[in-house]
Amino acid sequence: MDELELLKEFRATRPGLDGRTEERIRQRVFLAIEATVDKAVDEVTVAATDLPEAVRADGGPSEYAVPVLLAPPRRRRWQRWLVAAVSLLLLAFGSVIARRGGNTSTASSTPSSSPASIEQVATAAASAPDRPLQPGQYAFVRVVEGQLEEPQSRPPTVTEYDVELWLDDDNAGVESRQQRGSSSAPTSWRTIPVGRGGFGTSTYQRLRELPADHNLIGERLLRDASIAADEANQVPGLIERALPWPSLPPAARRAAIEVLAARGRQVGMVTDHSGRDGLGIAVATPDATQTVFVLEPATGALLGTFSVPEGAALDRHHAVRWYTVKEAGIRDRLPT
Amino acid sequence: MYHEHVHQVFQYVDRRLGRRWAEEVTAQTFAVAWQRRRDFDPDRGSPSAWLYGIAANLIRHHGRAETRQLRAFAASGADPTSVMDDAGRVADQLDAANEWPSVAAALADLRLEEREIITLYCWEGLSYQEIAQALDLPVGTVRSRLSRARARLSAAVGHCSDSEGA
Repeated sequence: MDELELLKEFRATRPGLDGRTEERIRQRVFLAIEATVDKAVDEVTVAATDLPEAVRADGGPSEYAVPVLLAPPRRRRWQRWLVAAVSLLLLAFGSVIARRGGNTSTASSTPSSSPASIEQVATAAASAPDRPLQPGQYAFVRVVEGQLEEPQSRPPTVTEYDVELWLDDDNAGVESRQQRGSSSAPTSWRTIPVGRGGFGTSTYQRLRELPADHNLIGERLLRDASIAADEANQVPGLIERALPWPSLPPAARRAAIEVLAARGRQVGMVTDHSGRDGLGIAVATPDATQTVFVLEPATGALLGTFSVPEGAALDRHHAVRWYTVKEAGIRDRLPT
Repeated sequence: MYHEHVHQVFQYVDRRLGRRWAEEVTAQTFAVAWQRRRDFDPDRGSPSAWLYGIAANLIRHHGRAETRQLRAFAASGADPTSVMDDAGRVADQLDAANEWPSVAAALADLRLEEREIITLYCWEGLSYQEIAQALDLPVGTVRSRLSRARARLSAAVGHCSDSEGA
């Protein structure tokens, strides 16, 4: 009997919920609701008037909600003109910006066939322009999170989510998550609970304050995510979430890449889960997998990661989990 | 939602904390769920995973009590969370095995976040994705914490078994 079977048996036999206890629970729930209903209504009414449409459409605020993304009212009048102008500029100069390394958008990046070293990639990352948000701007990332739900099942079930997150310089954010292939309603938005969740561990301020020293950045990432300092093996996963952000300071990006290099090994040019080539750094992870970070050699931008079981070839076709950066950038308005 | 899920939420809390707290924490879970009903997004997962997440959050407030109970079980061999069932038997003692104190000790030694993940996975049958949704964690973190919890549990139980056999 292995440890899971043993644990399954442990406390397996418990008396069920009897009718009297259930009735008492129901009464307690009603009393608790009754006690809070007036207060809750007031809070929801006030907060809902402050929420942007994208958030309000999802039904309102969370107890953990960070300050909501508020576009200054004065911007609303000319917002459409601004969006149109920015869109045209992006269309016209997108490739130029990308070549200069000023845009971490990876959707249009051309795979590099030239060999590169981690040092070169780290240097390239450090040389990229810093892209702090200007007042009224928003940083965003669009990624795909995928995994084999139960790798041992045949055929394996693949679950993929399109995830999109926006942050502003006031440490507020909204997130959208949509399961691929789902016939459910279109993606809804929710405010991000600070310090919780995959993206929720990052705020703009935290990103901007990440140290440039590779000896310090891991500790800071753990602290920001409320993970104990002795859980250093969680650092690569946190780096995975930090690297896609366009406003990550170049020196911090270099430090993060140096941490990966120190914890793992360079595996040459590899292909990420979406078919793009980049420099691979394989890092052992505590769940008996190896995670390969695929970095764009010219800019140090993270194309994506994929994890393979220990002993398997470092190949995307053996991936049991993947995280692909589709796009990242800075915009002057929120999605609608 | 209440009628559909109250039994499973109660069972989960009961396994974690025992009857003493199960009634109260289950009621709190549904009260909080009602207050945060607008936060529930069916695109992000099932209602049960959402409720387990709320329950796990509330159980964290009783983390020390849970650890104390597990350590008491490990030391005495008697589960302090057991209750007499309708037939007048101590329900948990029916299947009592020599391993239970060592399992209790191993659970007590786990970090709280590891304990909640392994119990959701093992007792409640949640998948990695469901646990990630319930606890609002990346799936990779769920995997790594579960892996670490299993390793610690395995080492502790194996160590105890070896000692007993020696």
